[in-house]
Amino acid sequence: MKWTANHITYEYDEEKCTCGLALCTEACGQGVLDYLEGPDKMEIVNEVQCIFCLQCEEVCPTKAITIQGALTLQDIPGLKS
Amino acid sequence: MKIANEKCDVLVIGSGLGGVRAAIEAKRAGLKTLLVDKSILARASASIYAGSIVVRKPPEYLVKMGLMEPGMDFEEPFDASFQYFVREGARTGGSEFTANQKLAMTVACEMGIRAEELKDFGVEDINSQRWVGPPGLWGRNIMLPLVKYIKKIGVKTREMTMITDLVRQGESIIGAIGFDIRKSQFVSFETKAVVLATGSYAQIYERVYAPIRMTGDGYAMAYRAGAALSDMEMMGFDNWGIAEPDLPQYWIPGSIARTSGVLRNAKGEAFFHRYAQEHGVLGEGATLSFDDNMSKRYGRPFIELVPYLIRASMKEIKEGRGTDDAVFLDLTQVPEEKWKVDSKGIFALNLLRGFDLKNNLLRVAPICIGDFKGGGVKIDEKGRTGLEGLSAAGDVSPGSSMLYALVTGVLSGRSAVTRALDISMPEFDGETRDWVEDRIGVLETILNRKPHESGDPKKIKSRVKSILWRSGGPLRDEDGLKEGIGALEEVEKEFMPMVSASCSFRKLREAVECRNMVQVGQMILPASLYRTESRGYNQRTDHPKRDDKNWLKNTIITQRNDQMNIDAEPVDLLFLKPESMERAGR
Repeated sequence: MKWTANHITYEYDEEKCTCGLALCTEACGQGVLDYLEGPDKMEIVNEVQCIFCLQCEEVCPTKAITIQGALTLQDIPGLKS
Repeated sequence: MKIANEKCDVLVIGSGLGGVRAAIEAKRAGLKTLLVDKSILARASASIYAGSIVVRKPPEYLVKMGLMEPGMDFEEPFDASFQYFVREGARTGGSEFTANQKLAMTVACEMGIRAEELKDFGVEDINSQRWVGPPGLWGRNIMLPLVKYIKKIGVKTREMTMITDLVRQGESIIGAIGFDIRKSQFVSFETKAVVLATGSYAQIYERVYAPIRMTGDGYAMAYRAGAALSDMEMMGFDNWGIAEPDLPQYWIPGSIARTSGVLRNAKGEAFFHRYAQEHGVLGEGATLSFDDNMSKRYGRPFIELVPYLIRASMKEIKEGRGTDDAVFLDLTQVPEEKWKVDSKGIFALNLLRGFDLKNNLLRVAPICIGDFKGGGVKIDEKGRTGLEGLSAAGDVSPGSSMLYALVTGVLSGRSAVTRALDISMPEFDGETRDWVEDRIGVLETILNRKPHESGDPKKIKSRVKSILWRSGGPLRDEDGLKEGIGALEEVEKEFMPMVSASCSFRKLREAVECRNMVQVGQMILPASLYRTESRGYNQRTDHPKRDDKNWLKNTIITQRNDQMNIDAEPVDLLFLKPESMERAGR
């Protein structure tokens, strides 16, 4: 599954979701993700609430989540100097 | 039923900054230390989500650009920090002069050195995080090294284990019970001392900026165990919450809000401009010019404007001049040179997802801010709760901020060490063992109860959140509070007996959180009703003035004979009195 919010792309590869630990769901402070028991898969349930903190991507051991384009202040020209 | 058992010298509940720091203290004293969390370590904590204020000193370039106010710097003379704590209150408990001054003084004295000390535990740059990471991950460079460190020194950790109750025998806390979500197993813990570091109760509100697991578990557990809670009515709000249906519900930090925006109602009127002039908001040198930012325009530091902004916005919404329970932030007239910074800020880009602020008004509304709170499990200047063997750290106690969590982490950890070195391992007596079986039996019933629509934990949660927002939100009055108390009673009687976890330990966590949220709500609303004045975050429209003559007090909630008891205790004005502190009256 793939969705975009303006400049940001959030990609979730369900095939790769195999760790069974729900680490992404636990790391999400915004309630965007849920965990389906039985199939033992993550499910995106409330994408509007995503703030692109990147925690889910960071904790996923099987790289099932890829977020591209989210910016931090460091990326803004002229702000660092 | 099978109950697994685990023994340790010190049991720390919660893996945010307070809990982790307390665990370091216990382990360094050579004690067998166990840290449990109902989620995975640190990742679900407010410390990682919004926690960055180990040092509240934004980089100078942001201050120069007018994006950030200088804020508080821990290198300031400690008396300035201390005054700030007592005046703002919420950082160290209470609100507006009701902080525990001994504790505030301890935090002010210790915080600088304790922040420095984090470097010993592998935190490379204590200054780094706040302004550079993505929102929702500001505490990452502090929390992740600390988690690594506690594992390295041999603190035993247990993730995905929810503590549901503290075990009390006589006047002492000697253990805890709960369940392991991954192993689908009930557990009882026997220990010499418990450190409660379970985080805040911000998630009790419908509109909230705080991670989702902040459901107030520690407050409810401590209450049921007989500990005292203070100032539960002091949960903080800010005016700047995004309220667009297609955008995340999140706090808009200063970078946008502090520009030359104008608050408008549905008719397009600049209502705050009018309100400020009619309600004595204007400070010295107010320019009243839309070319200036709000701070200059109304002649006050931004933080002082917040209560007025909330009142004015809520008034518009309540009186039908808002839109979808929100008002508009108009940034369309902001001059080009200011956009260069603001529109490219991370908040505009990531949170607003390209929302065109130059051509559209942004819906905003007040929102509960998890780290502006001042109520919690009452602790003294050593982090002790009054029950033997129970200390508390961080947001679960009456303060907030990373600095507060850090210092109370040390204090509560140290108090647990003192206790654990002093006694031999307590044994559960027959009565206690029966009680444990009984409590676990209740959990088992919820676990195995047949699912019923009205017993869906998620639905009950949203009901509670809506009740609390309506009656115990940013503006309160007697009628609303009483209505809320009635509605919560209905939830307790009609819905909670139906609550079901559908045989899933993961859902059992939701169900227990539900119970805790109801119980916390049942403390907030009566405490707010009891405080018949407006102070800090308890804004009562029927008692609009601060009343120092009668209310320089903390509200204290305890459970006596299964009944909730509310009292007020005078604040100990040991070091500072309100009249001695400079501040324009609210």
